[in-house]
Amino acid sequence: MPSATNENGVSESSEALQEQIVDQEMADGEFEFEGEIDPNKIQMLPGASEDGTAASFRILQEDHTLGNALRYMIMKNPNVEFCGYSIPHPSEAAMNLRIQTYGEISAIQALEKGLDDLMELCDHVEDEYRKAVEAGEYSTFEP
Amino acid sequence: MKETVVDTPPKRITAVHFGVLSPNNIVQQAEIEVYTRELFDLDQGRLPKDHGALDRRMGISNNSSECQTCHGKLATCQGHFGHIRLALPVFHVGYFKSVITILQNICKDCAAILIDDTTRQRFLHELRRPGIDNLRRMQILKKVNEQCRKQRRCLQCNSMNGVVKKAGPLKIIHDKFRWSGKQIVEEKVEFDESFESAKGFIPDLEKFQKKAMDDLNPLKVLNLFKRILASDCELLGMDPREGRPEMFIWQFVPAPPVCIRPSVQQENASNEDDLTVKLTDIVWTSSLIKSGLDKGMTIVNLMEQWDYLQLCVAMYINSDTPGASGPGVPAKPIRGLCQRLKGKQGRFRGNLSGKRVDFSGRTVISPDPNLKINEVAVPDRVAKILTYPETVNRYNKEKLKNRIINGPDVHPGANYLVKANDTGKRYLKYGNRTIMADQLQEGDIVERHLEDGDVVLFNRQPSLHRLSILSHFAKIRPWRTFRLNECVCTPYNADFDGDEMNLHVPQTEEARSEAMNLMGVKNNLITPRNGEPIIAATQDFITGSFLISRKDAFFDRAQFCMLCAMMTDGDEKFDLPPPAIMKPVYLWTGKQVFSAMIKPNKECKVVINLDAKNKTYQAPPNGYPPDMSPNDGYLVIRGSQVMCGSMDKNTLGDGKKSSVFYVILRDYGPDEAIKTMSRMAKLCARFLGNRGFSIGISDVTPGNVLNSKKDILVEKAYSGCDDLIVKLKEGNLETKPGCDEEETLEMDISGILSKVREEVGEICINELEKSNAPLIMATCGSKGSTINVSQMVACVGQQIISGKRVPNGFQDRSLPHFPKHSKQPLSKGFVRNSFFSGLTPTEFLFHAISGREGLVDTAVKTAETGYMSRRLMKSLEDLSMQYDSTVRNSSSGIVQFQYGGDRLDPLDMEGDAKPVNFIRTWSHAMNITFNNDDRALLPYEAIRITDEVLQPLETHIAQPDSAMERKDDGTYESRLECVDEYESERVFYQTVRDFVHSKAFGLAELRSRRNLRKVLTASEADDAEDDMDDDATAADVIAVNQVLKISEKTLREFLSQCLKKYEKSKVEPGTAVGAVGAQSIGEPGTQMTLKTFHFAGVASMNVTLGVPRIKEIINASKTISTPIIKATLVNNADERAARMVKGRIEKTHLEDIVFYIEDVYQESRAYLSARLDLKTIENLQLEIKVEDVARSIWQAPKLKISPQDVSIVGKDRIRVYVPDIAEKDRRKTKSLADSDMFYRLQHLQRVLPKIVVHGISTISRAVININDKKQKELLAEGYGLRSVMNTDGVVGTKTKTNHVLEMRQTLGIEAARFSIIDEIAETMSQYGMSIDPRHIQLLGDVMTYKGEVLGITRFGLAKMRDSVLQLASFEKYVRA
Repeated sequence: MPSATNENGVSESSEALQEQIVDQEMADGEFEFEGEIDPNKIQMLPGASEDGTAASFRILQEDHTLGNALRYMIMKNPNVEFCGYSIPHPSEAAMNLRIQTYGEISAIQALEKGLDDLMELCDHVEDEYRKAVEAGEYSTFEP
Repeated sequence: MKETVVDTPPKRITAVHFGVLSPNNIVQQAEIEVYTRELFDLDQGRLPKDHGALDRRMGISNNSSECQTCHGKLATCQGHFGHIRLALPVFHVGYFKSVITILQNICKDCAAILIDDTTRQRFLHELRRPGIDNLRRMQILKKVNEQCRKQRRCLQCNSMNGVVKKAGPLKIIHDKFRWSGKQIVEEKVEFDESFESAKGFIPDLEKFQKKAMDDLNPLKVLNLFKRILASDCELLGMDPREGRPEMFIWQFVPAPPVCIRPSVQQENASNEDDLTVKLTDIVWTSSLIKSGLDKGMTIVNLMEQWDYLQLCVAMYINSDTPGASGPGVPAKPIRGLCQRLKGKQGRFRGNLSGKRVDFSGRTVISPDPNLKINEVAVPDRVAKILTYPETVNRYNKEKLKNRIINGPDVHPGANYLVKANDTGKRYLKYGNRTIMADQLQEGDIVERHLEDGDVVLFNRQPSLHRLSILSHFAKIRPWRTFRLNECVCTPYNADFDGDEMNLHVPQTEEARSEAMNLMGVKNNLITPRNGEPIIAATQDFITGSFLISRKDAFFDRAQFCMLCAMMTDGDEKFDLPPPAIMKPVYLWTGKQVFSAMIKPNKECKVVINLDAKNKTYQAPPNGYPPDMSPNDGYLVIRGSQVMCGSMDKNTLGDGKKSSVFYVILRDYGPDEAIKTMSRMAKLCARFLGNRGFSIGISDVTPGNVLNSKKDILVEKAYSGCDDLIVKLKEGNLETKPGCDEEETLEMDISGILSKVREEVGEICINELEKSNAPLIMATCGSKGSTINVSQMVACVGQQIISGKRVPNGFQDRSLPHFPKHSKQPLSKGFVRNSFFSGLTPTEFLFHAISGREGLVDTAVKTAETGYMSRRLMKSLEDLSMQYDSTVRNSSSGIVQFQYGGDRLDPLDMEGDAKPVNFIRTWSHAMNITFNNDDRALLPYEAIRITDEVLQPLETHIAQPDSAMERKDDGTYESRLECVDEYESERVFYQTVRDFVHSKAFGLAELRSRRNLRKVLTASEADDAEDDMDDDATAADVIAVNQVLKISEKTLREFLSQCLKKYEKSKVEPGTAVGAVGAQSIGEPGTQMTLKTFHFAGVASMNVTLGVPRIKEIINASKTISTPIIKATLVNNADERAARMVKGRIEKTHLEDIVFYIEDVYQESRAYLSARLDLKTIENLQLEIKVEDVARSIWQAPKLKISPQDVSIVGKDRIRVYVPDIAEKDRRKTKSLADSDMFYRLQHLQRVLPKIVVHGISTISRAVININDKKQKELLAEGYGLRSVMNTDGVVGTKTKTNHVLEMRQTLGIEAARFSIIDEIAETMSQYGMSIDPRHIQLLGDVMTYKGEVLGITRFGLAKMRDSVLQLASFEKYVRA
């Protein structure tokens, strides 16, 4: 392990993975990023299984806000056997996420799907919300 | 940078030698003579005056000048001595006692030793015996002194020698004619006549003539000492080649170098050190005397000056010399030479044993469960100051370059740079750091900031045991506190209410690796006190674990995954177990969470097997195995799967060998143990954070049932108490053995009241819900007890002050709110309210009193136990295990031949002071080797395999006399056993064999129950031809196999594990067994409360316990507060027989057995008449007759009653006549003749009742006690073991006392050793503190190995040690 690990204990091969993730998301072209994209936002932790069905990710600058929602979405995926997240230390702005699948899909795919689903969910909630606001069928209250 | 450790030191110190300076030496070592008292030469611009106390030839004390002798600066010149010539000799205070002793030993006329030749030869022979130790030598010298003091006339010159003694401070007198008495002695006449002329001038002189004695002034003594023959010196304890008696008297005073008594310059005045001041004083006084001697002065004046000189010299050496203070002496005490060495701040303890250090930090601590067990969070601002010098090499060059560029102000930076070929450091705050980084070469040293993973030492005072300082790995974190995992609080005894802790950074690689391997947290999970885990789950972790592992805790897949992710930070693989419940939804139990915690995946090798009772284990109904406990109170783990039982203090906490972590540690090593513990910490902290755990008013609100029942119970108890009080008033109260009525009442009332508290508490606990927070904490053992819960909810209970109910603070009552003489529960401190319902004002006060007592107690206790620990440490610190397996001290004296008698390390004890826990090892071996296809062994095969393994080991340590045929025919010789150094090993092998046998017999029993052959012997197997189980049904065979199947693999695994564990648990040579032992006894002392210092023991006998008792034992006190002799009775069943023996032992006064003692006056005579109460004597089973009483009256000491004056009248009357006073005596006291008789009678009447007529006079009380075996035994309060042993009806060989010194006197040193060990173990066990017996044995051996019982005090220690330095680092700074 020692040679393949940089200072954060993240394997170097994961960098290729991240590019892949970012590329794909870019290719989908659905989002417009504001500001710069941090290529190290998601890192893969050492100890993933060889076939890629089980892996741990470190997502920087995130906490329970994303973690719990993402975990929930990934657990909804019937192909996923195990998904949990953890914040290793509250004074480090990072979140660890572990995914183990039954073997049909890879952990990265599960993560992508989870992120996509979560976004879709958010969009849906937003759409519904806007619709409801525009319909104006709600009472207002002035104190 | 510190040099790396070299193993070939340039010089090795083999010995340090102390001696006395002769006058010649003093002058020779001196650079100059000091003879002027002026310090500065005012003519030469305040330069130190030549030949003054600050002469620059004796060195210098400031930076600006230069030494005139060696021309060195302050840093290089170590100073030079000077000397002062005294006009008249003076005594040296340190040698004053020796001077007196020597004077007592020699003739005061001719200086010959006062011993005749034969005795002298005898003593010399004894003293010259080779290998004699100091203790023995001192004893001989003391005998010499005793012998000499008896000699009244010198054997050489026949002059008289009397008593030499101290007269006032630093004065010796010789009472020459002490022994002459009324005889007329020539010398005495001569002496008396010498006063004749003086009498003529001073008329008052005659009155004082009787008191005239010889004054032995220093000059006289000096001249005497000079005449002592070199051959006599040996008997005075001196080696004439090294020093002679006259060196004890000072004619010259050495003046120490200036640098050890520096002057403090202030503007144009200077402040001088006390020593300098005293030196000028001495110089001045001496010069006065000198000029007086030259030019003449009055005798009175001269003597005054001489005394003053004497005092000055004494003060200079030891400023608290007795007699030094008093009128005319300055109030401010000066700091003499002795005071510089003495005490905590003195040279030895303040500068040599302990020093101030660099690279250390201190701040407040706080908890952080997110850290690993062996980490400590260091604030970044601390990390920027503490540095580690890292040498640049190929691999770290880039990193260190970065550090240099960052500099001292940015965290991963560096403070200094030391170039390889350059002296001096470069501070990185200034200068161009980029250039410095570029020029960095391999071999340079960068003092970089502390970074993650650095090894640091972490410590909290008081450092009572070795676990108070541990090595952690640093983790740099923001903010200001040191943070540690809560599991590591126990060894430090830390909490987070503002505690501060210290941190040290080892500065070399060697130091780091040593710290890591010896002091690392992971290598110190268990305490050497008894081998129990000390770093384990605490408080919230236990609560969390308990909540997760409860029977009703279920988690769905998402929750279960989250829990798993929580405990590992999501970076470990988990093999999800199959769910415990499949329908309607998949659910996992909390116990499965713990299975996953112990063994997260298949790759993990941890497979543990464990059976343990929970804290609140309820036994299942008869006939059921313990795991059927109705409250899920029995933990079973098989193959790392939790089968049943919950997690609580007993299975996760510290101090429990049944803990999960302990089992992992023993079977899979510390790495796995701390990994699991870290997982547990994270899991519980986060789980509890999500779940929430809080307490509110509803948690302590009592229910209706409780409220109603409580009142009934309390009222019932009150009336019960009232009944007792009424009984007492009427005198109907039946007393308990050994108690009077008052005591009985108190005992009964306390019994009733504590019972009612218990009952109410029980109702309260049963009534509370399962989710009640305080109750959860009490049941799982994380904090508090059920008593605390019931105090909040139901009833606070009786308040105790120093072991009794609240005492009377007012006249005959505790408070003015109650009637006088009230003994009701309420007025004596019973609090019936709960904290919830609120206390009444009086209850509140009683509670506060009791609370205050506790606070005072802790304050007193800390000081007391601290000193005790220090003394223990100082007397045991140098004991270590040697390669020849003996335990020796630093002067190679053997204390034990084998440590603990078996060379086993208490740290590795798995069972109760035993190296292997067979039951657990067996079940573990069975589980890891189990294979259904393996053949089950028959009982005889199991026994055969065991012998196969053990016998080769046993043959080479065979008992030397085992070949001899011995039979026990009752004689002492036949019972003697040959014990060699392998005894303990043989015993261990035998216990292993016994265990296997018990399994084999169990199996045989099982087989016979299932109608199979027992097959316990090979011959039995041969009988049954081929297959033994042929005729049995398959069902029976399977049944037997299911219950107990021993396969060969299992058995061999078991045996090899046992042997491996035994071998591993042996003490390594070099282990500091003494230091560990001292800490193991001292540290638990701090946890003992003084509060229960009198413990209501058996049969109303109070025994001192706790710290005071331990102190008594280790001090080897002559008088102890509760001496108790425990006597076994010949007839231990019969009450009457016991009473009879009791009568023989207990002392009986005359007053106890008489109706009256009256004085009778008749015309011619007067007498006292006493009538015996024969019925009482009969009732008490006393064997007393009238004659015996009469005899004890005239035998009574000091009364001088003659046998004729005591007469017996009838069968129960005794008359004691007061005899007429003899004629000649009467003449003297003529006027008082009549009243004399009267007074004497009165006096007699007063003392007669107290005469001891029966029993042993030193035994004040004896109580018949019924022991655990339902046998009667006698407890006697007092001394006199010997007399009790010899009493008829007592089994002398089974009688002992708790007084160590009496055991020593009566039964010898080995008995004393056993008694020390037993008493300490007993006291400790009373507080539920388990200490390995080996530690206590070592202490017992240290106290007795010199052949007498030596206390752990400065006096005892001085007898154990010869080394001056060892004694000086304790309390003996000055030779006394």
